[in-house]
Amino acid sequence: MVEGSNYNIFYRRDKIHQLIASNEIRQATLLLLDFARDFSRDKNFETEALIVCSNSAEYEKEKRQRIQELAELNRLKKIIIQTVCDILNEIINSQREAA
Amino acid sequence: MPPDDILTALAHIKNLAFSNPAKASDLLVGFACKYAIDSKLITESVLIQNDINASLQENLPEYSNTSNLSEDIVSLSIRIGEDYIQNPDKEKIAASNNILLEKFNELRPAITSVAKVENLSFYYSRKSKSSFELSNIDLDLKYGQITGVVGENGNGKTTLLKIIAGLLNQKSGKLIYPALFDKTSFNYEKLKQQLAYIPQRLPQWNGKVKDNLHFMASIKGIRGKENIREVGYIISRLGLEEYENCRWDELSGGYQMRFELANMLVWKPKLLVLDEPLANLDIKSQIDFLRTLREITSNIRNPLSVIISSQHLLMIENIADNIIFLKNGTADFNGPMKCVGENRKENVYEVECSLSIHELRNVLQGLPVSRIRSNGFSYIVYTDLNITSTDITHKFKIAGIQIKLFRDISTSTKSLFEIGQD
Repeated sequence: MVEGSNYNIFYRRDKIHQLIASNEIRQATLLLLDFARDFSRDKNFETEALIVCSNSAEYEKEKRQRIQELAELNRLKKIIIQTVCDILNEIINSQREAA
Repeated sequence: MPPDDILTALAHIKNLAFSNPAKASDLLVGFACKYAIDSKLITESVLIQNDINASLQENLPEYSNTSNLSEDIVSLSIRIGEDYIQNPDKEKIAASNNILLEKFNELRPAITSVAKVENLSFYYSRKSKSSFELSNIDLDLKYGQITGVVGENGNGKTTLLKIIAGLLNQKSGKLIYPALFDKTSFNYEKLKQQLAYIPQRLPQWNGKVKDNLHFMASIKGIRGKENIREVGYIISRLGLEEYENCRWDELSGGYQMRFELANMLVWKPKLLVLDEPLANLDIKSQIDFLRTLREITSNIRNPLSVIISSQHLLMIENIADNIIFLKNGTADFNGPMKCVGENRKENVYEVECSLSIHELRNVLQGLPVSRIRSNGFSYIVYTDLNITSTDITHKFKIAGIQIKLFRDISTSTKSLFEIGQD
């Protein structure tokens, strides 16, 4: 875990990873939204974060209402996690390139 | 030859992979974040970590076998190690990481005090029968910080917030907004463009959630594509997606408060003044609301300072950086949350059990207890500083008495309340 403040991009990434670790997928996507706004000027990342955020809301709803089978829910969850990590990595890599 | 720290980390992960896969997966994610050059390896490690924790949390048959995941941990850690060692760009990446840290650190605002209150005093009328007076209040509301205002009813919380929000004028003392104006340029209209105030009683509104948010953003100067973007963000961020087409009377109390917060945050104020926002919320809504507030206050592109009053002391203490405890119009405590109870002379414990006060005294006999107060529901026990919570609970254990609730409130503002009678 990286030490630091909210101005530390790696600390903020680790906070999102921690939420995923504790299975708080919805919360992780909300922090991703803030991450995208704080650390990138590219509006596409924000749009991608908004989409994954909305997907996580749908996932939570389906989980709560037990609409889907467990296997299907797990598949959805994995897609969300993968997308969250991809957006995080893309933002960090684009910032690295800019640096 | 691979560096020693990588080999040590790899050995550690391998050792734990089968005996303690949860710990090993935590280490794996840390290892991946530090050494993985290919960012897909980080994603893989996060997925494994989630799989393991989900299997432990949910305890379902589908998750019963973690040995495959343990093998995945070992093989992925080796791949990350190899990826790092073989990659010629690793030094370049380390250097650019350091540049990133410096770059975002520069976003810190030059002036961090949003509002400053010095030696402020206020009274409604000298002639009135009520002798209420707010006096000698000092505050420094900074970007990224939440200041909690607590105290019993009628001790000046709302009055103080109204003064800060510019709705009442102080009688004496200084109130300035360093990050918003210089000393000469203050005017109320400009203040209203940067300060959001949410009163105890929420106003009713017409139309739909989404339309109101677009309208509010628009009258604050956020128009066109930016308006759409900001409203989209705030709806998602505050979890209002399902309710965006709802009207006032179709929302629960929790979502009405959430809407109010969205309606203020959508135009990015610098200072947010919240008067008893938790009053009508159930416990889950309180937690959700405060969590969101804490996270949004910590954002760096739109820095915000929050002052919030509440009777829900323990809730507020969980998120506040600073706390002011008002008693008879003066600050009984005023400072960082971590300093509450710092200079106390006693430890204070809250106990709820089925004993009478005399029986409780008997159970605690032998411990240096100076007094016990009762509020009808629970007892507040005051002890010498060297008495720990274990000492108290041990006494209950020996006596075979069950405790319904036990809380160390020595470092909570709850200890400052005069609760109950001796």
